Amino acid sequence: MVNLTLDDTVARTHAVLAADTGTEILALDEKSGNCFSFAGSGRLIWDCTKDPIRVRDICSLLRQQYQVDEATCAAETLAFINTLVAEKLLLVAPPKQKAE
Amino acid sequence: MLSPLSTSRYRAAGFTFDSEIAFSKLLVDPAPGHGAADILFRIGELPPTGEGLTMRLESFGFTALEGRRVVVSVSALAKPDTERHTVLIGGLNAIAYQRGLLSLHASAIDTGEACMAFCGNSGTGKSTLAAALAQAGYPLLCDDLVVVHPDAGGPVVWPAVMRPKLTRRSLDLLGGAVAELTPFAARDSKAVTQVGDMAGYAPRRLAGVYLLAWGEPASRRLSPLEAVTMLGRCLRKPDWLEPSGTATTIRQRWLELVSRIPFIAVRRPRGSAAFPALAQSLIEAWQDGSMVNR
Repeated sequence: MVNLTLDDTVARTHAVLAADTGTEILALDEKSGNCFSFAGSGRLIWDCTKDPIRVRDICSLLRQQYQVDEATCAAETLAFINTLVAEKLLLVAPPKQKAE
Repeated sequence: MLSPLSTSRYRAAGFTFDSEIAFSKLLVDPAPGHGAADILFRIGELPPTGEGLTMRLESFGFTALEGRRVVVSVSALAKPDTERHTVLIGGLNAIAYQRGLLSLHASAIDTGEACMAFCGNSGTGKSTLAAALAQAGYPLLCDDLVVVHPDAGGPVVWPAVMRPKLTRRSLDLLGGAVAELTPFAARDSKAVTQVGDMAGYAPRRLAGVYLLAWGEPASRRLSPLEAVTMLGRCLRKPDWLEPSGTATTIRQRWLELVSRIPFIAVRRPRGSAAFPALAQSLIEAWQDGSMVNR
């Protein structure tokens, strides 16, 4: 498990196939064969990781959409993104490529 | 044996194809002969193992190459009717894979402006259920193979083999309105039949997929995530997926299919007796604008 911080930058891996049902995103990792469904805040996180983005900026986007305090949003977003990284759906950008 | 004849043109599953093998009118429709065909079926020696998608049986075999050619090798032992059916369905199946199209082990019926497909393992009653629906006025579009084509308005299915192969037991169940067009084959104990009106050769929007299985009677709509996991159960010859060279495209199209249309799991008891009730239940559901009768 990677211990991400709010200043880490993440982005989707290219190997994951995805389709939009209108209410959720279906994702399929061809290498592992694992399937995923993202709805609600999970969908928002998936959508905004199309291009590299800092976890802190994801939290800002989430707080524009949901009524949640900063600490809770940060903790839950980091936990979710850690899971996506562990499942190899997201990559963490190398330190030298991190946004300032 | 399968004699090389002059090339004839046919159409099925959204393809036109020229063939040195004369396919019976009972199996596939002749097509107008203008322009280049999508596919060529020709008689010849099979290429070395590893090239294309190949099926080898005792008395014949074929290899699909580059999504455009099917080379068919036959021996003097080949029995034309059975082998031609296998060559046609298997050849189109392989070509569909090589073109990155979803190639489902399914039957399909025409509901008017759209169609429904019935997937399931061999023996789960795809053909018999589709035939029961055809008797009730929903023409059969495809038996055994359903090729799904992407389209701007959603996935579509073209008619393919519209005369189902049925067992004696299924024929007895369906009653006298079924015409037996061939004797029952020794290999699978099935006869080619005609049930109800023939559908016109035009694409239909695929509106839903039913997954048939044995069990206590029950129907439920699968979540899209559940449906995604059913790809291996729905593909015809799933072992061709990886060697087709188009596995990623096919998986992406499967994701798009399950994200757009409903998938319904249908369980019924073993035996043919449950078909009329199941067919009637589906008809009532469709007339109510739903997928399952509540």
